[in-house]
Amino acid sequence: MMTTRAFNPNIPEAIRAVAADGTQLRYALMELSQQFPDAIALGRGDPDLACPPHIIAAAKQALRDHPNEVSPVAGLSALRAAIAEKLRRENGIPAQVENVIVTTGGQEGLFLIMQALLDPGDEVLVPDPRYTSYDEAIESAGGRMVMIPTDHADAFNLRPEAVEAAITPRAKALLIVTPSNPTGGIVTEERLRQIAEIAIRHNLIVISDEIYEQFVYDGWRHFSIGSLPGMAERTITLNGFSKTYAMTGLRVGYVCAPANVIDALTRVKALTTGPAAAVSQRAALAALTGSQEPVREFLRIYDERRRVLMAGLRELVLDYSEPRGAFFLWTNSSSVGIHATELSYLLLKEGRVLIFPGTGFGENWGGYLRISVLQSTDLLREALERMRSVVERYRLK
Amino acid sequence: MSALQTLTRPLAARVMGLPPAPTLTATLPAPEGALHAAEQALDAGRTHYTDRPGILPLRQQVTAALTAAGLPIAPDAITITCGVVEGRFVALKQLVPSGGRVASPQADLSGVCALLGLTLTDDPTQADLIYAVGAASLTAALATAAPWIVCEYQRGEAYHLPTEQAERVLLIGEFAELIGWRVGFMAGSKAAGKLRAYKQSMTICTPSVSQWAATGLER
Repeated sequence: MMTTRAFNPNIPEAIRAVAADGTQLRYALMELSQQFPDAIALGRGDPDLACPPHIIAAAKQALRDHPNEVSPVAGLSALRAAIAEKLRRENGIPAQVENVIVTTGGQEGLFLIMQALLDPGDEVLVPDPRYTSYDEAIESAGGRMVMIPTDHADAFNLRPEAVEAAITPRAKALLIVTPSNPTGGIVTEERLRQIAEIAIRHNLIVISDEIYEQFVYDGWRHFSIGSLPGMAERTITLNGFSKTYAMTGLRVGYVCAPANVIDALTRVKALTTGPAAAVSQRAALAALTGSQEPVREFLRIYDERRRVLMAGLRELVLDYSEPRGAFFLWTNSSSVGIHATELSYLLLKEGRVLIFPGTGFGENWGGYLRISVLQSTDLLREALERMRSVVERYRLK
Repeated sequence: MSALQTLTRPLAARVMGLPPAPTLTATLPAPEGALHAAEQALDAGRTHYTDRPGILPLRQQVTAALTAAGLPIAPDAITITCGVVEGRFVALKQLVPSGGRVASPQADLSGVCALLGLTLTDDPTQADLIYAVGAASLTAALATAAPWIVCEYQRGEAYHLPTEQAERVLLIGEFAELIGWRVGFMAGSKAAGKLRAYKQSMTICTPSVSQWAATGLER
């Protein structure tokens, strides 16, 4: 990584104080951005598109038909059944109702999994870079993260040999996020088959976060490791409705796992948050059982935006890993010659564009930015122009 | 096709012996004002993440209610939670040291303490945290030197919280008319920022439509 200038002492204390904590850094930048009402937000993974009307209508109907409904802790049985059916049909995972729990978003799903799975000192293998919001879940359960390197040259695919090299006697689980936040990489079916063999050989649990599964580009295909022979009994699949249906605020996710895991998660959930909101679950049920045409349209829109961003970054002479999925362009900013945390701050303060630094996703990524596609093409073009002014001002000659 | 029954590795020791999940029930009907506010929120497209502390109108509403009850806590010291259950778990996890002691004369905290590896004690003078329910219980807890007091707020009671004691007191509560909507709050204490960050790490934010529904309770 090229960082030839010292860290800028003028960066606000609110940013400096949390620079080593990826999650808090991202939140600090979001809070700082509120000082700039004209800033274009390309940070958070919150779809700007509207939640499809039939889902809104279902939520409104539900709050009139079932205003006092309290869900069982594991979720409404109709929704659990619909999720299990979806997992069988789309993902090839042999799920039944007993294998599903509805959670208050995907993040809670991971939190519950770690609480139920990890004893102090257990290790979880995590691809680097990573969605650092999961760190707290692992550490809170007494677990320890072991990083698995991924790299730009390999489109941030997960390498089986890197997974195997990271395994120690304390390794209990492997976390896979495909498509990946933050890189947009996917773990291909061929690699997943090799990784499954490793998991079986070393008796590892695989936690497969598939929250971006519907957003895969250029003919690439999402594949669920839990569908492979011998893997359903050692795979915990995590997914949700937030990204697919643009309903992040309703907080509905789910976990699919062997029944004894679901039972444990349910007991933990009863003591940590209680059931997911019933109205939100009714909306999720409508999302799953209704038309999927809006999702296909979302994919088309995100793909178009992705292409606009890629073209703009090429003009700025910023290298990127062409995303095969998800909402983000993982962009190599090292040619600017400024640490990504500082560059993000300057892009916000001087360019009025909110972009997260790579350090929001791991300590080693001070030469990268994560840029989301979650604005209209017009705003993306405007953001690129604003980025140009900052990048050209600071780029090392 | 039968359900997959068992994971190939044992679960964490902390989950062995946890009680079965209880069934929650609604005790009061959701008022029309709340339903209308939820409908308005849905029509306005408020289906996205909210700010980390929760929406400001609801926090202001909580401030007004607490202040009227003798608990003046500013909106920026309030975080909207997924009900009392989440506030309680966050508080115990973040405020009690590993292996610490909790006194809870009124509420059954055996399950959550088992999950967190905490010990329940009958002796409040030996507790790292006293869990109080309501105004009288809070007053009794304030007479001790416990480092932390978590008080489950009971609507309709009058509280007295001396300013010099406020740093060690966290109020948690929820809206009885909206049990199934999963919305509540935690308010005050010098640990408000830490508690908020931990809540965010668990559930990011409380369901947006539920938060907006709660703003309608005032109408």
